[in-house]
Amino acid sequence: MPDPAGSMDPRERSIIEGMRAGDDRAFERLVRDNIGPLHAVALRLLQNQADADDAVQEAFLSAYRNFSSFRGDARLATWLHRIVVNAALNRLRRRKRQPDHGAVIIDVSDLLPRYGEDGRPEELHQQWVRPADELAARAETREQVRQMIDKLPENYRTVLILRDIEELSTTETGELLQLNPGTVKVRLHRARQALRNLFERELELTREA
Amino acid sequence: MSDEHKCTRPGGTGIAIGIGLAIDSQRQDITCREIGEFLLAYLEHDLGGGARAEFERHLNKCPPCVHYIDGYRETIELVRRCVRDEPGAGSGVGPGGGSQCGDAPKHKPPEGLIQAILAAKRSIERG
Repeated sequence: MPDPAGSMDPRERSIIEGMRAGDDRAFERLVRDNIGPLHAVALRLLQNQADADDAVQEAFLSAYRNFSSFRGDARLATWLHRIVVNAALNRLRRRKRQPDHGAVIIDVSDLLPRYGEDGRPEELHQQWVRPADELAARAETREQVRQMIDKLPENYRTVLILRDIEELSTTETGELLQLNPGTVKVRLHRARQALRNLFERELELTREA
Repeated sequence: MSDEHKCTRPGGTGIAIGIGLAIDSQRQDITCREIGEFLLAYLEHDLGGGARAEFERHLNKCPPCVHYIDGYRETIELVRRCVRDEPGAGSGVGPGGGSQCGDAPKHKPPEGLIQAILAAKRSIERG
């Protein structure tokens, strides 16, 4: 998102100028100011502390080496976010070739809504008895939700994270995952549908639950 | 079923065109199944005017589909609220201001990792 030079945060401007001048302290400020949220992004994608540490380190070193490519037409945090997402996704691709770590993964197709020949649902959908804000206020529920997201197959989970949590566009998500926009949309929709079903069942969100 | 099954049809480029063809050429009304299948296109304003009107006409007479859409929206909201509140979340970094907006960091960034990054950078400088 363009950020006119006049509205740039003074601290961010100082870091950018310092980085361009080769000031060591500017790099340290860049790291300290951004490592918290970037580490959280890497951990969400990789689900593993050591891998997240490696991805974050790789991302900061890549930012250092390639700082000349930062043009200042986006927030520095946004530019770094893209780099760390890329680093984490590269690690995920490499990890795919390794054996599974024993995690419980659901079959998304088992959780999609079912319909009869006439196009009507096999079970009528009901109104949820508790809204999201009330549910999210409970630490136990937040943990349950995170665990259910982690049960999604990786190709659905990564799309959901990039679109609904990192708030990347369909186009950006497709570029990062090397998927066409239609495939991103279908995976996102199915991931949401599967989670809707899981949440409804596991969090007892209907009167009959 | 492949991921692309509902995305592209001959002569079409996306979900919106898919539902448009179904509505225009096959029947006057859409079913609950189609509401479920094309919900994303509806929410992202990818449906053409005629298809959107058909979609909304169905919703006006089908409370279970309205409940389905409400639950779908709540699902998106629940995912955002629950994941953004994780430890380590800080100010928004995603392009849409997304990723952890509004939640203060729950713990300090790992100092060991920061020192490792700074040391690796010095190592690069030394060649």
